[in-house]
Amino acid sequence: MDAARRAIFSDQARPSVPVSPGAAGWLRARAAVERVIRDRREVRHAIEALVAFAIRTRQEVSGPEAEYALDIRHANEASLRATGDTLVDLLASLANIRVGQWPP
Amino acid sequence: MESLRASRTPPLTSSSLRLARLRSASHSAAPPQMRRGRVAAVCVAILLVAPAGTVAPAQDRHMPPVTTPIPRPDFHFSDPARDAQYWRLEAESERALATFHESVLAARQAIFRDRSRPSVPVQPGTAEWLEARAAVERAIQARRGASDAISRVIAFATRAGREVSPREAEYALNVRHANEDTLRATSDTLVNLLARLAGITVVVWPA
Repeated sequence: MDAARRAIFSDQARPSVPVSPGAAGWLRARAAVERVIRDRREVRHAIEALVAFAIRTRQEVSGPEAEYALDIRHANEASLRATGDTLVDLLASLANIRVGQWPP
Repeated sequence: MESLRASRTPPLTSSSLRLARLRSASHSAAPPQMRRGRVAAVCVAILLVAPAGTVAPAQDRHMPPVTTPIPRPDFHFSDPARDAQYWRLEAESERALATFHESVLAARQAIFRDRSRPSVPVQPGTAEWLEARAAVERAIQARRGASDAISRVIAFATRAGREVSPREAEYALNVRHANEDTLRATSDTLVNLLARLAGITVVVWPA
């Protein structure tokens, strides 16, 4: 993620200006973003496994444990959404789109 | 969640839409309203990830496919005021999602504008690409409206879940989960759209 951001904002003299679309530097930045997308898949699968565990567990336990399992589910689903929003933010920067808010 | 797991890009055919609907419906004991939200999200997803060349010949590539209407559920909260608020929020959410859906389709058409090579996106940095980027920017803005509306439904469901009977609380929890799924799908949809704008090939959904 940091590598991709550095590649997008590679001009140290103008650190808030992204690389120009289509330029050689932009193609390098795009490759870095593509790696982030691939890396995110593994993260996603791991979080989804945890969510699936929490859903299954909630049906098998009761009381405070069920409540805890539900909290685990909600927290991890929020994390999952944040990974998507982070990619949106990164890809928007690559496209020189100013998002200006979080979530995008 | 299962319906949104990574899989090979499905072609945009009526059978794939039916499959998406079935997967969505079989995901949990969520009531039809929630399934409908998921179906909308999955349909947006399929429309977006399917290469333009895979559209069924009988369909106009630039139009959303005709989908079978899903009947509205007969669930109602016992408190009329709460029930009215719920259905108002759901209606607002659906309208905002429809606007988002339209903007996504428009952006996709702007990205894949060459009808002779419908799976090739516009070249980054060109005038056409700048137009496509503007369309994607509008989709990002439309998603904010959808995100806000969906978030209001989620907040309502979270609040209502603490104030109602166990049966209604279970329904409210399903409302919350289904809308969280939909919200995540809107984010995934934007990822796909932006990736395609950048010329990044996305072969799985979600990216």
